[in-house]
Amino acid sequence: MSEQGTNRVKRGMAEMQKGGVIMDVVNAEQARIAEAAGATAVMALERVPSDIRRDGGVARMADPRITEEVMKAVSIPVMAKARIGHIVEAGAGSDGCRLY
Amino acid sequence: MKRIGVLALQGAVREHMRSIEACKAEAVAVKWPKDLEGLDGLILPGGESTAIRRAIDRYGLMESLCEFAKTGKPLFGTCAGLILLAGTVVGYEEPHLGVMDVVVERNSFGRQVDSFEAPLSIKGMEVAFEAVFIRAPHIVSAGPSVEVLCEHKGKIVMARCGQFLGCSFHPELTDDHRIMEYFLSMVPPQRTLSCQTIQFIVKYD
Repeated sequence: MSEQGTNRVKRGMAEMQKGGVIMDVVNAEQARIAEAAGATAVMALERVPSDIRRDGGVARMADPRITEEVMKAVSIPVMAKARIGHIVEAGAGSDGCRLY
Repeated sequence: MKRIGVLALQGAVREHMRSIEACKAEAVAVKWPKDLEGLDGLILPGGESTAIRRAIDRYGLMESLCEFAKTGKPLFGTCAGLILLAGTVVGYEEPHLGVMDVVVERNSFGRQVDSFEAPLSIKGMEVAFEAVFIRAPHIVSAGPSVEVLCEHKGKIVMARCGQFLGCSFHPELTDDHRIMEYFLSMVPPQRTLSCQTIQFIVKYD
C-alpha cells in the first residue's frame, strides 16, 4: 500500500535540501530569481526579516494568493508558514509550516 | 575494494556513502574533476536537480562527468540524479549529462504533500522493496536498449541502460541495500594486483 506524509517522506525531503540554500521570498518574481540563482527551495513570506527590522512589528502568513503564485512560478519546493496557533490563518493556505 | 564516488555538491550525499560502505565498498565524495580519478563507478544523488546542475557548472565538472561516462564505468542516478543522466527532460530544451536513453519528467507524482512510500516489485528481487518517493520524477519513455526494472502505477520508476542505472525513488534513505548491491555488481571484477602479488613479482622477476 502506498502511504503519504510518513516520517521518512518528511525527513527525506529535508535530506534532499542539504548543502543548498532556502531563500525567503515575498512574490513570484523573487522566487524566480532565487531558483535561477540555485536555491533548493523558497519560503513564501509576507515580509522578509530585513523588512521587519526596518518597519518593526511582526510578519504574518503570506497571502495564500501570493503563495500560489510562487508555487506556479518555480519548480523547486515552496514552503509557507503561519504564526504558531493561528490556525484559521493557517487553514487558509497552509497548515502550520507546510511544504508544498 | 571497489571505489565508488558520490557527486557531493548538494543533496543526499552522506546517505549514499553510508549505503556504499554498508556494501563493503569504498565511498569517495566527488567535488572536483580530480576526485573522479581511480573510481570504479559514480553515483549522482538526489537533491534539487536545478541546484546540482548549477553547482556542476560552477565547479567545472560537466566535461569531466561526460568523459567519465564515456569510459563505460557504471553510473547510478537517484531522483535528481536520474534527471541529470536522462537524454531528454520534459519541458527543457537541453538535457544535463544526456547520456541515458530515457525521457524523464520532473515532479511527476505531484508536490511534496503527495510524496509517498510504497512497496515495489523490482525485476530480479523476490522480496518487495520499500521505496521512498520525494517529489519524484518518472521515466516517460525509454529507448530500445533500456531494460525496465520496475514500474509503479503504470510509470517506469527504475531502469538500466547498459552502464547506466536510474531510479525515481531514494533507496539510500532506507536500510535496504539491495539496489546498491545490484549497482556494485555492474562494476566489472577488479584486475588490479594486490600488494602481495606485486612484491612477489618484484622478488622473482
